[in-house]
Amino acid sequence: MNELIRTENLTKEFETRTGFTGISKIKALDNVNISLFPNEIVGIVGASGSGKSTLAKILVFLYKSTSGKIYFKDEDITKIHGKSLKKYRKEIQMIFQDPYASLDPYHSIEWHIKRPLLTSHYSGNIDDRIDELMNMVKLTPPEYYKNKFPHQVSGGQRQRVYIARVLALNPQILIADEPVSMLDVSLRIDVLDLLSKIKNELGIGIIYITHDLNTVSMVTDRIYVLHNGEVVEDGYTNTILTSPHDGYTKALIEAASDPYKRI
Amino acid sequence: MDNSAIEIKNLNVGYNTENSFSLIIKNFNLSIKKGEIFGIAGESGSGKSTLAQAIYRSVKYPGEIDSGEIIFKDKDILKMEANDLRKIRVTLFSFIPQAAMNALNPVRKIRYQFYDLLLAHGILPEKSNDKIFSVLKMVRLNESVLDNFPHELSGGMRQRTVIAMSLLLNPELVILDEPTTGLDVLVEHEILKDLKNIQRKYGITMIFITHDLAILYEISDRIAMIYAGEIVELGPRDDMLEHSTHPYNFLLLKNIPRIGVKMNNPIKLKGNPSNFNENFPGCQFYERCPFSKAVCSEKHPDLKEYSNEHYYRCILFPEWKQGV
Ligand SMILES: Nc1ncnc2c1ncn2[C@@H]1O[C@H](COP(=O)(O)OP(=O)(O)OP(=O)(O)O)[C@@H](O)[C@H]1O
Ligand SMILES: Nc1ncnc2c1ncn2[C@@H]1O[C@H](COP(=O)(O)OP(=O)(O)OP(=O)(O)O)[C@@H](O)[C@H]1O
Ligand code: SF4
Ligand SMILES: [Mg+2]
Ligand SMILES: [Mg+2]
Repeated sequence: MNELIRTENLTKEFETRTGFTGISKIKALDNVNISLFPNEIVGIVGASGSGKSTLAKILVFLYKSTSGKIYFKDEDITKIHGKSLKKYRKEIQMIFQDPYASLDPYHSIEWHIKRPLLTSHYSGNIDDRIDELMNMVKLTPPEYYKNKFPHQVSGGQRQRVYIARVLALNPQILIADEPVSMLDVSLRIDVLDLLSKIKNELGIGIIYITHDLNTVSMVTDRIYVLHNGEVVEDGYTNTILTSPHDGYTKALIEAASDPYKRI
Repeated sequence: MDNSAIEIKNLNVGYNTENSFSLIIKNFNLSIKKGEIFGIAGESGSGKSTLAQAIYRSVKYPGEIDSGEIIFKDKDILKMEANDLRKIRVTLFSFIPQAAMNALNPVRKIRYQFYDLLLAHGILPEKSNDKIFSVLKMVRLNESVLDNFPHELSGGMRQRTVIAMSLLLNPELVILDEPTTGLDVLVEHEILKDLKNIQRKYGITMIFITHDLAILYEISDRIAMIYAGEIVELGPRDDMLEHSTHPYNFLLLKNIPRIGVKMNNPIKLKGNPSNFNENFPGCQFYERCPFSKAVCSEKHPDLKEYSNEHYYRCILFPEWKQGV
């Protein structure tokens, strides 16, 4: 099977002002090569500022890379625009950290899921599709949740509403940037389980971004460890977590919290 | 000898709303021992910050301490004159509120924020530079931060600054509300290690509050789990970890992902967080509890002793545990 998405020497520099006169450059991504296959969850792991969100934003075309290439199903899409960009944007959807900010407080949960179906001119029965999506993300029974507003459900449920909303567009790729870090422990597992379920049932590829190696070990098949914009280690999650080579990966593992450990 | 650093007795704290008063911390009793790290855990909205503020008597309107006693050095903090209270703050006990690192004065260099703190206690800053240097050293900050504005420091450095301020006048007790929440994993881990070292070295009593159960178990000597403003389980860290008596503690521990540990579809909490209903006659955890039975909805469970120093608030213990 071929890659859904692949990057080749992806590099991103930001210019920042320093003092009154100087401009300095930050290399947020440095020759990054990653790939994602259908039916897998790939983790992008690293400490704060390592470049994780920058990578995600480039893949969804919120940022432009400084150099390097992006391939979507073997096609070079680095420079696409107009209609083809619009088409690609539908195929790759992003879930953010804050489930509060990503929903509109003045609209019902049903509206949030219906809206993308309308705008994408869904050809089937819209009500059936809404039910199907709500069942998929376990907002069940759908009738119970449809007319509620975002503030009337828990953070975990809000995150699931948002996931249903992006799944309505039938994407082939999902990027989840710290999707559970703002949720209480009791709600995290459900959202993580949901990512695995989506992968298994829809066969899509998921990029899971986090600094938390505990959740990475739970949901991902492979990982890339980012440090100062560079991939310092990559491979199967189990292999890396049990026998890391890079010092930075080791530090991340050592710092991962565990109630059975002692500080 | 009295081994208690601070004692909370029958504390009730709540918030005034338009036409009523809603009680958040309910009839709360707890005794913290000298020289321990006491961890308080609970999910968002369970009342952790309300409790922390009450202990420091810094609850602000619409919040209000309704009743209770907080005994610190043989005096009831809640009955102290404002002036006496000011004297013991920072010198005898200090408080790092949630998100304090974002509450540093943005237009004042760190140096002057330390000076302000000293002046507030009638101490001349000029003579105290050594004191400031030594607390900076304790939290492993370079003296150069004194000439920085808060925005010039990273989150971790700002948090270390706030910790240094809380330690400036050698308090015996420090209350830390979510001191590492929002920090990067690597930074968080370093700060936790430093806090523990400082605590052990100087014998400070720490009350450590967080929603993050994993780090709480890593750092604490004893732990209280709070649900809906009440202690539902309390005990020494090891006992709480190995012999949970309350479903809440048991389930949360089972639901924390850990490297290299396969999760076999663990039993989960039901319902939504913060679904507290003050007027519900039964167990406050009833809506969330997968082990509940009809009896749980009828009577409010008391805190019972399981073994030495280990308490739980559940009608069906040990029955519920036989099924898991
Ligand atoms: N719009 C921007 N302008 C300038 N610099 C930026 C911008 N976005 C990110 N950076 C810089 O690029 C680097 C990588 O940032 P990025 O947000 O990708 O990190 P991250 O791994 O997502 O961190 P976190 O875990 O904190 O979310 C950082 O040094 C950051 O300051
Ligand atoms: N100013 C306020 N007015 C009214 N109610 C409040 C106010 N502040 C807090 N509350 C309520 O008191 C309860 C406890 O809040 P508190 O901030 O103590 O929780 P917490 O456990 O610290 O949560 P978190 O983990 O989110 O910090 C919540 O239900 C909250 O809605
Ligand atoms: S009393 Fe009943 S509802 Fe409450 S925690 Fe125990 S088993 Fe669960
Ligand atoms: Mg990020
Ligand atoms: Mg709080």
